[in-house]
Amino acid sequence: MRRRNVAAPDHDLRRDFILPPMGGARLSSKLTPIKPGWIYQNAQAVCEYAGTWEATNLRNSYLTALNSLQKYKFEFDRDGTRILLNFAYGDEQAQDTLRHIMTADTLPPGWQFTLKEQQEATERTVRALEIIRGVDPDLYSSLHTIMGTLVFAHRNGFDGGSVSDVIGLIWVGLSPSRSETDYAELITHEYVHHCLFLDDMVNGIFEASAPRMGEEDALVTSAILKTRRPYDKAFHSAFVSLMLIDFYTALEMPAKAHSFLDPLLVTARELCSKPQFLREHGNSLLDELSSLAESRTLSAAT
Amino acid sequence: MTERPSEEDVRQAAELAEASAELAARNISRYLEVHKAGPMGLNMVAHETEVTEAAQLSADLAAKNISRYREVSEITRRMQDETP
Repeated sequence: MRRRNVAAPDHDLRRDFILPPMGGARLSSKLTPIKPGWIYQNAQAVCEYAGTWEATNLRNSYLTALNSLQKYKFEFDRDGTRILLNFAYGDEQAQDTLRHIMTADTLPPGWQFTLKEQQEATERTVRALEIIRGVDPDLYSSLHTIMGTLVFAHRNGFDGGSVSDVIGLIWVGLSPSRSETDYAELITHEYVHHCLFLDDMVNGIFEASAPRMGEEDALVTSAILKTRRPYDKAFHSAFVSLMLIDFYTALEMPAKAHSFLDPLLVTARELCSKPQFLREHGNSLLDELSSLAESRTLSAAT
Repeated sequence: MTERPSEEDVRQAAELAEASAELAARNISRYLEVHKAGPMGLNMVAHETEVTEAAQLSADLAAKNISRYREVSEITRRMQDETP
């Protein structure tokens, strides 16, 4: 029998949770691909392309559009705005998607969360979403507009991930023993990838093909992994890093925020030295990112 | 008082909106085709994983995508050829 998705409860677990301080300007107001207005405009373009546009319900229109355009389908809450939490037991569709995201022929042994882990992961996720709401209510809203489902599965060596042809769904592999802040970081991290996928889809970020961006002369040091990676992946890593700097700054965790800064500067400089891999829009985003990264350096120095 | 836009302004705005929608449609179409053949996977290596191990895990994933990448190359080349 197919297991039903669990919708993240909005209120049940909020009683004993103190929201973190706001900590300055909102994260989502700084970078074009994650600005809510830009995201909604891009989402509308996808709906119009797919023929699903309904002005009264962008979320439903957009998630329906993704399901009609993408091979890998996912369920979403059609009656509300909750992000579904899917543990994929007996759910062949979700398991197929997990194999695709993991680039694996079979799911690894022990991939399923136990019932106890499901409960803990649900609690962590709900609290993580509350952290995000506390840090930036606009980001929380846009996250709930463009994200349909979180699918949970363990895989040794990985905390989760996303893939460019399954926009709207995030794989979460993080152990429930990790903190809600780690869950919030993971969701924020993956959310940035989805915003960039969407922006690339509608406005075109990359000039070169994926194989070309994986060739030796296109490799750039990743701001997250700190190893040389294809240009497009390093580009994503820089945006994630900047977002996480602001995320941890907002949570008043300056040491954690600062740990992302130096690698980000290295990545931003290397990306800027190879503008030929970006289209005009991509270069404009990179200019924006570089300028914001430099401004973080100045604020860290003062 | 705000001046009413002229017919020419309205026509130009409509043309611009149409051109913008056409460009978005071309971009979306291209993205879907390219990423269907060669999706970009961004798996998050676990925090506790050593850097060298993380690099190996990434390399393993990249190797699995090589055949997909070859397909993407072909599609991208074809699309570029077809672009006026």
